Amino acid sequence: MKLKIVQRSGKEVVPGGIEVADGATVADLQAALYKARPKLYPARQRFTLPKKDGEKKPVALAMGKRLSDYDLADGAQLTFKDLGPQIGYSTVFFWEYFGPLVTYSLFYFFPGVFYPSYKIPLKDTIQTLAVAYWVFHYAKRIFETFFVHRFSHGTMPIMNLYKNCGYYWGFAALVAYYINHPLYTPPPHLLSYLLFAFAMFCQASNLYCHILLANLRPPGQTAYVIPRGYAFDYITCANYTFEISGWLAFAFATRTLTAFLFISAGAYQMAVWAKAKHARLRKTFDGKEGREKYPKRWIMLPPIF
Amino acid sequence: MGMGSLRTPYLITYNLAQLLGWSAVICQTAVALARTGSPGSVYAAAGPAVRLCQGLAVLETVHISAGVVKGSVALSFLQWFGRFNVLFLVLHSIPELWAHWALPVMFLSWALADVVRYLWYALSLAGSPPPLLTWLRYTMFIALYPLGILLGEMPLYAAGLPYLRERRLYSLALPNALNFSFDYHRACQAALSAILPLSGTYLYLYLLRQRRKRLSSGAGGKRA
Repeated sequence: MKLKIVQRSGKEVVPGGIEVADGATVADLQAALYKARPKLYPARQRFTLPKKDGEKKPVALAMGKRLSDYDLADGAQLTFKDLGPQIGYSTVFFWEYFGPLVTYSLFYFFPGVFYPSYKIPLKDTIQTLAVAYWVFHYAKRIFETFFVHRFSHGTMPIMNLYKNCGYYWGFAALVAYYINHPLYTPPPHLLSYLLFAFAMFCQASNLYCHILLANLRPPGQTAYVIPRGYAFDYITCANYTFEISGWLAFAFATRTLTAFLFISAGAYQMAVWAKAKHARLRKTFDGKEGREKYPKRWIMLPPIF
Repeated sequence: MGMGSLRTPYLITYNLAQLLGWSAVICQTAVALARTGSPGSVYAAAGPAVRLCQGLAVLETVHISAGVVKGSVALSFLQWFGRFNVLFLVLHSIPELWAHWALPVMFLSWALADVVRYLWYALSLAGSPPPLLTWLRYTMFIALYPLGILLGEMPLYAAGLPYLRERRLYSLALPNALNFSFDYHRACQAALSAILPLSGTYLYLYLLRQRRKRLSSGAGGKRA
């Protein structure tokens, strides 16, 4: 069948349309467009059906489906959007986590470079524990990126790389600068050690949560599943709960304002994501037509949220 | 909830109150200048009204975040904070600046623009503002905005910097329990050399775009 592909401006992406087999899949369509327009590799392509009345957003063609699943026949029209240069999720995650790991370490190991006008005293134990915790945290994240997480999307727009790295690397410098400063004032040590221990427990819990999430669905299944096990029985985004608790403990253990600012920014973003995920799960599992009803759970931060 | 019916009278009251306040600023400034022929007495005469009006204007950000008024919370807050910073943290904290020639320039450019703006909001809420007022609102800024920044805020920042450095105002030095430091003098240097020029240019171009949109479409829309 022949499909007409137009941009939102009305201009045809491939004059005359694209020819595909009647039983073709979305992937086949992507390959055909890529052949006709070599700059538009499949990750940049997004096709939507003409918007029907009452629809808030037009339906986009999803990977893995056949074109016939969307009732597309000869002569049908699809709207095309170029998503712009794309970059892989793993690539972005690696750089946004590797940067802070290196940045923070530089402040710890080379204070003479960053605090040139000060006499550099011996390191306090808390400063050493802080760099160990920080490096462990980001090494854990890199490990999870390649060995634990299952990404439902393969790519994101390239601007996200710069935005995310700016955020992570920027905060890494802000936090590292003050904790490793020659004039750093540590809080009471015993309390700090207990808080670091608690923070490590949170990291371990967070890792366990990530493993549970990765194993929720068999590979290839896209339907939502209710998360269960460990703290997920009580909290929808238990992984965020542990992430935030760990960083909060770190902030108190080092008693550094910029660490509190860092976790505040992170917690805010996670709250936005958690709210959306919780709403999605409650909407999907509404208890009607034989579907399970999503259990009563906190979103991210018991007892208030 | 019944709040809907209170919205318009409340907003009209707020806008009229600001209108009154900024009108007073114009009169007080003009009278002080006429009486003494120098900027020295302007802050004593008009300062309290400017501080009251500008301080109260934070409500506009509150209105937007409460959903009472449409707009951008971030934009509204940044504009308010920009004025708040130069007025309260720089000018008010440094008495040596109170006789500066840029002070009446800043007061008058703020007041003239705001008198027209608040009147326009009030009339929009009550019905439809006269086209002449809409034209004034979207045209006066062309001169008043650069005037207020180039000959008002920037000279005051520049004049205030030495005092800020010497007196370490609003600054926090290490070591301290929060392990945090803040150099307000450096922040104002950044404001003067980068933030004001960049944000000022951006906002000016934004206002010019708004002008083209609003003045070509005819009647003014509802905004408060």
